Amino acid sequence: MNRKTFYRFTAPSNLLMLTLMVFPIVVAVFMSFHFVTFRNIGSPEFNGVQNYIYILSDPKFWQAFRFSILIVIVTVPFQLVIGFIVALLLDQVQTRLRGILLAGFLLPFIVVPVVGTMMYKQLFQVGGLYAWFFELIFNQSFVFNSTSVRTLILFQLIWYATPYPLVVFFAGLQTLPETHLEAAEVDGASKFQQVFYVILPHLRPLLLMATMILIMDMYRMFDTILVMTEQNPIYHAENLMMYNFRIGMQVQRLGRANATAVITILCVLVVLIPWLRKTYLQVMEKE
Amino acid sequence: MKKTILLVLILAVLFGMSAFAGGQQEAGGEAAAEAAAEFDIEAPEKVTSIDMIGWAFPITEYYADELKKMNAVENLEVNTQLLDSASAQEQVRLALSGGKESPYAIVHASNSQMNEWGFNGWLMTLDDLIEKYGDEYDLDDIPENMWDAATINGKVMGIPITSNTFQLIYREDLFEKHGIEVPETYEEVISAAQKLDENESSIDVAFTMNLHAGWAWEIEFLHFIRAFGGNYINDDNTCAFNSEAGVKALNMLKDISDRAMGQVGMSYSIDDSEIGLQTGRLAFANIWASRASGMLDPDKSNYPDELKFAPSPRPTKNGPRGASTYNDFYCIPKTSQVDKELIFKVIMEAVDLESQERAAGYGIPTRKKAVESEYADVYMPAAMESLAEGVGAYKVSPANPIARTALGEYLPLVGTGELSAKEALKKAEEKFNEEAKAQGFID
Repeated sequence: MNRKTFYRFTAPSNLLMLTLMVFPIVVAVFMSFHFVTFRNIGSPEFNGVQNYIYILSDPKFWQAFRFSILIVIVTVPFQLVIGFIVALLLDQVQTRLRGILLAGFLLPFIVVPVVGTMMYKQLFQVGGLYAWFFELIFNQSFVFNSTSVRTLILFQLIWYATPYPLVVFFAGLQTLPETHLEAAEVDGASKFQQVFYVILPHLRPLLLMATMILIMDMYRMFDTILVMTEQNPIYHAENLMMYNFRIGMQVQRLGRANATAVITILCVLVVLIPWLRKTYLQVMEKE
Repeated sequence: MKKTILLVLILAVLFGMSAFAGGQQEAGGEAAAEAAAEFDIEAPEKVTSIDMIGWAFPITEYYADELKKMNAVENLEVNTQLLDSASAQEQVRLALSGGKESPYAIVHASNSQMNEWGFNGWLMTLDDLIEKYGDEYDLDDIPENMWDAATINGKVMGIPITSNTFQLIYREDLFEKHGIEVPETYEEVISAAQKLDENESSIDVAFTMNLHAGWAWEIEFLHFIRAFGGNYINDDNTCAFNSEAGVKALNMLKDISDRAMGQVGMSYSIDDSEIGLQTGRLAFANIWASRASGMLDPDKSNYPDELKFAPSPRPTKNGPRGASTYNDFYCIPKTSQVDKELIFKVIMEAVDLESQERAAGYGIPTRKKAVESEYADVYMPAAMESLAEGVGAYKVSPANPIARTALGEYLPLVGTGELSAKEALKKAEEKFNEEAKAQGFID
């Protein structure tokens, strides 16, 4: 296919991407250099880099940044490891039960995040099942405080997003030729060695992709944290998205909210660019 | 032969069905015409949609149903969308801030939004229509202070549809068992809570008030600072909350949370308090009056006969009660392209006296005559006392939402001991000054 044909074929999707993705980002960058509230949204006032200076010198921004990183560092490895183990186990099930189990494991991913989090939170609230267990075991009521709320958020996110790597790895396992494992077995490889030297290398591209997507997903988590904290500052559980939401919708400083959004996108790109570069180089090598 | 019989049978069934459907349509048409005759609304010449957006609680759900009844009027389509409060307000801000045609003909606003949206110039003034239809809909029956809360720069911008306040809900049986009088002041609340904590094993928490979130702290703070003679902002929009009255108010809130509620009580949301009272885990609470009807419903409450109602306690001995006045309004966006008079009449029909009398079963109506309706529940006298002897409504000022946001950000940190009352108010003042200055409300 020559370049011209390629561009013609991809033009509709490129146009759609420009309209839906690039244009809003350009507007966000423009707004980030202006003083904008809901009152003057029609005539923003240019204020240079003041919004960026404010955001980067706001201790609450850095607190939110740290919590966002904590979420990624804690939840993504758990999601990957649990997802991988469950996918391996599921791959061993050869009966009809496999479909039922797979559907069951996918449930957290199907439930709307807000609804899932509300149900999860209710378990720990007055009259909730886990609150009752907690009281039974520790002889004291369950209390929502900074430690408990932050911990519950991390657990909820692990529960919510684990089905994603599970499905990806399970699909990858279906493409692994039986002969590879049989050959390893004949060579005397133990089950662990089969996992480390045959299965994991086979799943490596999927593992990289799942890791990238989970990192971005956890980094921009919003619904779960909003429902769990109700924006109560005592929990110290504000991540970058919540910080952005508060600055934009409560304080109504839309310029600052857009500056936060731009900084957030830049942070994601720091993680994303090496991966995109690597993928590009691989494609070029193949060509 | 068989085929002929089958054909005749099919035709007979089809004929019967069409006759039945025709009859139903006729009956439905009659019902619609009857319903349409109930409303004093002239049918628009062409199909007109009136979309309402608001948030859900029992009385607004009732009003939404009343609005939908107007669909019986020819060529009129009334659609209602009830979300959670934050989402509804966000939708309205996004829809109205750009200055383009509003997708909503009716927007639900409470005092805060009335301040914000009214001063932003997003709402229509209704004085001319109130003047025109005042007698027909007996609008003098709605108290003057409620109209004041809807008045921005001397122009009325909303129709008051419901009121809300706080009241004390308590377990009469437990109070009698331990010889406790219904508290009149917060000092008495602390004593009663401590007595129940020590002697009543059936409860988890003795007392709760609304301190589970930043905005909840801010609301209780308003009750206390007003009771101590202070206020949020001065007439020139400068900060007034960082004052002696403010420090006293915040210290008292901290004292109540430490001595009467404890860590568990402080983590109780409004829903938790409601469930706590209904399930017997909580002995008494100062809670929204709009939650009272749930206490008497035997399907929801285990103690419908034991739970009783009293006006909110007083923060100071002879001062006002620790309960503010809240109103909700229906407003018309300035950029709505629907006939203003038609929207106004639709609102009026939905909140007329007859409708508000029934609304009294779901919350506090705004018409004086409706409060005494046969539908009004037993909690109404206590709620009315809280309204009459309470601290009143938020000051109508464009800087008020900024003060509320700033306070909501720092006050909860006093509860956890991270900040002292003075430190929290100082930080909130700095935040308020920065925002109020940037938005041009102060120099």
